[in-house]
Amino acid sequence: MGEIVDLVAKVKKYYKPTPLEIRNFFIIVFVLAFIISMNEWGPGQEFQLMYGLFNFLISVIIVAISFFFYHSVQRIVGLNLGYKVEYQLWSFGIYFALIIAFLTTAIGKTIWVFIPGGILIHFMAKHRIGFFRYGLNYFGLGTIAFTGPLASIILVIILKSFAPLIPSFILTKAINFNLAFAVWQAIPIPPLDGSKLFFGSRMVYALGFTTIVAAAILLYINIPVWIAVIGSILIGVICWFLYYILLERSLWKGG
Amino acid sequence: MAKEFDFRGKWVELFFFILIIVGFIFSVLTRSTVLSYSLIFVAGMASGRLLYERKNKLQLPYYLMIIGFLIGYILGAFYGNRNVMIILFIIGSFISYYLHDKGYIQDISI
Repeated sequence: MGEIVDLVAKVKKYYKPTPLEIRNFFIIVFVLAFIISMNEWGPGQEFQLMYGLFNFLISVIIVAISFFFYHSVQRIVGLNLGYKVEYQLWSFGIYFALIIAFLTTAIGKTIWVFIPGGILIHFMAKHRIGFFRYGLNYFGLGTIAFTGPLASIILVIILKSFAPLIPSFILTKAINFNLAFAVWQAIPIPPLDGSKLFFGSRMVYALGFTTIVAAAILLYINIPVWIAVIGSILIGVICWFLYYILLERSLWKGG
Repeated sequence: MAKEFDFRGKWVELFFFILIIVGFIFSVLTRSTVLSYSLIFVAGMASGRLLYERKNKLQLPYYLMIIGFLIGYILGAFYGNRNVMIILFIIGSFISYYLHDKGYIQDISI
């Protein structure tokens, strides 16, 4: 109980984002919403401004809620571990995502690339007292970072559970966005969140990444949620074990 | 005997050539005027970001590579006006450079 009271106090005191983070949040939300609504600016090939703006607004709401949930989980887990988490924009990722979106839209099928940035952790000296490995460490950073993609998957599970209450076109878009966002963020390219766990622990990354990818595939296809969850965990554990047997074990032996 | 490619000495020429091809492919694939203009504007913004990152450092090789991309893009542009594309690219670069320079966009430090 004391830990929860402590966490609530930390959230009240340190959760508030900086003005720069709020600005970055809006940039990321508008760009990602533009990408996911790129094919929806009119029925068929026709262009209709109001039609497009409506779809864009829906996309902004979906991306804002999803990204807020994604980063809030990282922030709260970070505070629980005694770190203040900050999300930083990666403008090259934003430009690259837009270029790929324009290019693939011209070809006929828009490919979503979601690489808007990554997290940075700040050490809170007083709140780390008593923790094993007191200072900053890669594993702590990786753990915090990877709760983001997990949060996206959990949001999809929640959305699927409340499917009858949400209009189907919003639900489908929200599910697709969160699944794609989780997978993109789990990729081990700096500064994306997957890279943080990859450098923290390869073994945990092997489990986490394969579970996220399996969950994304199984939740995308139309099967019951509980089968998708159990299936993805099983696939993750099998891939993790195979990774250890085929690759990691030989690395530990020195080749 | 074939001479080994001197990457450290000729990386600018190599990337200049690669970016001409990339720009050409991008341009050929973009079969719409609106998308073509949008893409070149965003590419301009990316180049502005790159030039900002090279502020107070060696910039000439990066200018050459950016010009390489622009040449490739213009060569492959069959939709839209080529002068408009050049202007959009330059405007995109200026806007992006200005936004980064004034701190409106602050980037991650990897």
